Amino acid sequence: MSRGSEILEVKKLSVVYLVREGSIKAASDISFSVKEASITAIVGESGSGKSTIIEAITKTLPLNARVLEGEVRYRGIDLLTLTDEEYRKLRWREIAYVPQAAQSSLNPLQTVFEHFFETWADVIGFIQKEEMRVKASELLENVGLSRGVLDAYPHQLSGGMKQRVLIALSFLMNPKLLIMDEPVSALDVVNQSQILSLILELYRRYHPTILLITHDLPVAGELADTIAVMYAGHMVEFSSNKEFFEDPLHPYSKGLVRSMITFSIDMGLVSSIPGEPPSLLTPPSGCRFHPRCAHAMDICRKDVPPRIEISPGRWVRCWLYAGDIK
Amino acid sequence: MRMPLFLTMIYDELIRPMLRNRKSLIGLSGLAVFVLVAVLGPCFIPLELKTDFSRRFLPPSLRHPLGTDYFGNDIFQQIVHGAPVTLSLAAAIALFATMIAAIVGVASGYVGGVVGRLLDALTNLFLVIPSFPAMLVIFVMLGETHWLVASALMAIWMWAGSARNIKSAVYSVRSMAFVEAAEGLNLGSFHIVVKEIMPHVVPYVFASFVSTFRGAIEASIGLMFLGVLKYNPLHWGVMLNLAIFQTGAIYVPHALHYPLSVITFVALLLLFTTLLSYGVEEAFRPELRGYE
Amino acid sequence: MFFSSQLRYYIAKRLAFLFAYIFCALTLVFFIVNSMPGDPAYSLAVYYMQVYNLKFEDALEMARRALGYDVLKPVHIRYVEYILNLLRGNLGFSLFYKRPAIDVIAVSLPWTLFILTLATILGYFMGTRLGVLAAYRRGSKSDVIIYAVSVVLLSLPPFIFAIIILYSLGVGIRILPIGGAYPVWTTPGFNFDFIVGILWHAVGPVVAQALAQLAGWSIGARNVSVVVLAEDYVKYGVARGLKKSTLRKKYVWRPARLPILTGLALSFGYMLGGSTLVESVFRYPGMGFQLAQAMAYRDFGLIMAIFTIIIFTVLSASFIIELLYPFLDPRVRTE
Repeated sequence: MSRGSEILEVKKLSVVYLVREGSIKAASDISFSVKEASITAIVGESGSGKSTIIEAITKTLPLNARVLEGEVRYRGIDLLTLTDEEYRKLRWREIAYVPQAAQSSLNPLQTVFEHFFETWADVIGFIQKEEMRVKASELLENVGLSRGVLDAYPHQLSGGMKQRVLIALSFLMNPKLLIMDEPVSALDVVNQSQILSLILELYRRYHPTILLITHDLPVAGELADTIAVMYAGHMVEFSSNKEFFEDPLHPYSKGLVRSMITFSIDMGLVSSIPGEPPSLLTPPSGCRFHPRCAHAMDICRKDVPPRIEISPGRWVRCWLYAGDIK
Repeated sequence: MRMPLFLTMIYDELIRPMLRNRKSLIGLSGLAVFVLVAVLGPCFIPLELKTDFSRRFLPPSLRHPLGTDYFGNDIFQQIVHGAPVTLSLAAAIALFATMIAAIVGVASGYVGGVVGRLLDALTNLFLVIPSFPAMLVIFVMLGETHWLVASALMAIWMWAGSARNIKSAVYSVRSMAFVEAAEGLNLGSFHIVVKEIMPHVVPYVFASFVSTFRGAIEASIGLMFLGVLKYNPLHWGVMLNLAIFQTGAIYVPHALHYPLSVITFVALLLLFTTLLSYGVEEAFRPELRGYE
Repeated sequence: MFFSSQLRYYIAKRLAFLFAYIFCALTLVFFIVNSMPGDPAYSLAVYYMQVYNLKFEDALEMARRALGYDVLKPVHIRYVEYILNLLRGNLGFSLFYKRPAIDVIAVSLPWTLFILTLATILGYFMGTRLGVLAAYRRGSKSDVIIYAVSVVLLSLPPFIFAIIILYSLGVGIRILPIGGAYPVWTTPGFNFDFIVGILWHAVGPVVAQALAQLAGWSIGARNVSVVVLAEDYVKYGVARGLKKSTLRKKYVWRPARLPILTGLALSFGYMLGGSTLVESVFRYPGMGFQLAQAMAYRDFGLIMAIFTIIIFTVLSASFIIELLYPFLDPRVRTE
């Protein structure tokens, strides 16, 4: 696999959650690809479907979820067709995951060291405890934690420390694909910037492919080469970092960029997007953004816009661009 | 609150969830049959209690659907007439117990502080003392009592579990935003308790009543079965005592129908009330649901 | 880590609570018994008059002694005497057996504990494993079947099972004995016949108690496990590629054990209370049976003594279980 080729290809993925009132169309017709050793950020509000995509990729969907259609090809293999045991062979060695809920993802009944040890023992095989201690201490030092943390129980650690432990754990086997779900959302500003620099440094050292989920656009801007925007279960835009922030295409993206508050922007230019995200139980017809879109046309209400490629590797789902290239 | 609004509220909040949950629906239907028999049965089925040893332990027949007992009396009649006795006693016990539980639970949940902790300790104390032996001791010492007094004395040992549930319900409701808003508006404690907190706690109180009712049936039958509480010879617990201990039916194989009939009805009643109690708990405490 | 000062503090605190509860429970019962309307000595005296053919004054005197107190003395003095007696190990006197109550209890309590221990092993250990299994297979047929059977079993109190077992297997098919703790033809001691005899006679009461236990535990364990299975750390464990056996043991079973254990103490109290009924049905000479007999013969001294022991046993059982907590949950160790 050479640098620059696609390590992950998602094709037409659709996932629903079954609830008493019906089915929640959490993700519909998602297609995108991730280049090896790149950092891709999936950006969207809560409920937009970004976590669902991750759960589908890592096969940690809840019991009431159903994958209606689609493929998730990791290095050519469709992950969705693998059995649990076959997928388990890929876990952590190839595909690792830093979950969103740092507070509750560690087993409260065991020490940090036991987490490291058991992961290695179950995935790779036997290892001496001393050897594992050395490895784990090194990883902890990489994330800025002392080796004393190894013998601590989760309830003895702060939120920021737990987040770092999760990141350290994710590098245990030097995975090719690293998925991070809101790595800094639960942290205060100081910790946030520390963790962000940490992630960049680890990236420079190990060159994993990073798939990053966040609702925080500035975070995406700081870390990612590629930005994908989710709205109401649809992926509406996909472009490089530079092109996205210079010239966001989709009206929703435009609204997002405009509502970013940074030090240098004149407050007069900051605005929010009117309205609220729709219920995914009964999503709007056609383009799901049309109720809030200032440029909505008749066709937007009727049909879902297809992926319109603006330039290689850059596309948008919006009828406004349909006339240009077909 | 005006009457029609109140009734619709009861329907929406209490009755509809019960009907939707499968367990409580089955339990409710079964219990309804028992209640129907208890209320209407005695009107249609006469009670003829004449001691006639020549008719002792007759097997079930058209004339005696469940056969006859030691004294030659029809078992079916006794069961039908015993139904209201059994059910009303248990209902009285559950009513008393739930009232105590509601008062203690709301008080300790809302007031907090020293009073709250004292009430907590009291609740714990009654939780920890095993209720059945305690009831045994009390009733042995007491001898004959009026059934309402007996119900109250039994209720003393049955309120603790419900009180704990109600207290935690009040506690969690109390910390919700709208209660803080009411407190901020200085609306007075009584108003807050009744208007803001109670509507959310009522389902828990109701669930407590149902499960206490079930426990009361079991406890009262147990007490009568041991002969500790001699209240009414038609009570199913007393019937069971007579069937097993007094009349030696256990050692007379062809008299099997006598204890068997009583046991069957007791078992069915307990089964339905247990189902109802589980269903109601699930309906009003969604966190207990297995899966959607 | 173990026996740190925090741990010692925890144990001391639990011990203090234990004594406080025992003390309060006994005080409560004492005052309830003593503030009964009417003079229980009176009705007891009437009974004694008939049974022992005495004059009323003698019967009344006997009744007073049986109840363990002199009505003439004021309540608080009686109370102090009661407490002092307890501390000395004097639980009262049994009129029926004409010996100290503690002798009767010493002989019968072991049988009850024997039954309850076997029933707990059967019910708790099998039930909780079934429950966790059901939670793992939620929604599947085995889950529904286990659950349905459990609910049905749970709705019936142990003494109903006792009656059913006695009838079907004891009287009907004649497999099980219908009385006593061991066959009359065996001699007590460590011989094979005796031990087998004990077990054979114990089957009825044990199964009766165990069935309800089993059902209760399987539902309880299932509910707890369902909650645990939905926890984030289980999801993260799956993501890390942990083996199914690891997840089952360390991520589901261990966390689920904690709330389940709390219920064990309560269920022990329930079983002990129910033992009166179950032992009566089987005429099994445990403490529960003695209590039932004592009630029939109005042996108040023995009644109060047994009740005191029941309270003590239940509270001690829950204390012992509380002691297990720090070993199972590291969060408690550092409270």
